[in-house]
Amino acid sequence: MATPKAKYTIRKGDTLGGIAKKHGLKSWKDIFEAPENKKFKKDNPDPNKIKPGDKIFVPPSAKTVTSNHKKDMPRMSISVEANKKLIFVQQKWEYTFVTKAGVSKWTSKEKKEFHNAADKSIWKRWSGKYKITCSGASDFARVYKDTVFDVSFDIKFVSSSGHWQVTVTKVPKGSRSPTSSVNWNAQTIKLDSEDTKLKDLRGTGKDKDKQSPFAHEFGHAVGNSKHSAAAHGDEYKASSPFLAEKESMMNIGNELKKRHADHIILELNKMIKDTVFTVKSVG
Amino acid sequence: MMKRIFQITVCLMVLAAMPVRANQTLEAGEVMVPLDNSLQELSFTQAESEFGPVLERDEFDLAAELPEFRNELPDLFDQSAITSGTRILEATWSFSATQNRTVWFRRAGDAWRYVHHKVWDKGEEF
Repeated sequence: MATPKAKYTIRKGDTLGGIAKKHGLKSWKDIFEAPENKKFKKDNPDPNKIKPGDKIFVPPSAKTVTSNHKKDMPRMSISVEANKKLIFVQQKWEYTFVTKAGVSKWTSKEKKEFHNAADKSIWKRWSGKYKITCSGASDFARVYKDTVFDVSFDIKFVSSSGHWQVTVTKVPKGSRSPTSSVNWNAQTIKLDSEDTKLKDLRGTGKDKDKQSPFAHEFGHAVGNSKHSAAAHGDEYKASSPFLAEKESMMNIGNELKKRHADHIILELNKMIKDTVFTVKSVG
Repeated sequence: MMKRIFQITVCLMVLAAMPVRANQTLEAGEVMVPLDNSLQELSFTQAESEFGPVLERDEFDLAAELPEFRNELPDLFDQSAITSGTRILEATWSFSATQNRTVWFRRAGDAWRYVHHKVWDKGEEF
């Protein structure tokens, strides 16, 4: 929650630099150049000569605005930790492990290893890629307008209250992977033990082009779904406007695109009043 | 009485497994289509006539590895068909109130002939 806009009455001995420092601002210019102090600036053109009794507006600073915001939603939670320049997206995955006929049962170690492999793969392909900035009329946007936020993605292994019900089938090693899928409306994910392997769907033979089934399916679960507000899902079908972008992770490649964060952006833009988040770049 | 209930139950089970022609409305939004074994000789033209309007249609070249939705297809072809990038037609119809069915066809002369199919839950994305 933003603090009310601060008015300050100049006292004997005050300097703009001192006032700025006291309120967590970087420079006296933050006060002197604030649009709200236009009249003050006109009446006091020399910032070194300010008069006791004059009232000035003290702009918001990291010290006076709420820097941490969190939103829990049915399919994920999003945290904005402005002091760390971080946006953190986390999903709780509640697993059911099943076994295909003729295959040994899952051991506890295998279950843990499967989750860790999914988590690692998602982290590697999604985290640290998006650079996000904010703008708007809010105190938050005013303070953090020059901040470039990193976005981290995480999945957490839970035994109850999961955002997603994840069914993982153990199949014979080296067998054709059964079809993995995500159902946005039902909040279900289907994976299998062969999803730990990268797929050379583009047929280039290059590791950088190979797709991780985990990362692709996670893409659906973070909003790349025809059924989410972002309204775009798989891109390898003729009905997709992005069919030609084979390198895209939601197509048959391994690259994230700005649009793959559309749902995250839509949710971020509902979190802090009068604050608009934008993907600056994706790498 | 129990015997009668058993007979009715068996009857219903048999009926449920019988092929029903397209466009026979069962309940709102649900249309029964022929059983899987009747798909084997199916051409796309026949499928359109049997199953009604296609929800989604696509064409692509066969490859050694395909997206998960299509990943069973390479196993159904020999290496030369894969290498030459055999053209595949993919068409999806509503199968029931809760499921869709996608059928894949390959070109044979002037017609698209059945290769494989998959029934999947509506709402699933691959």
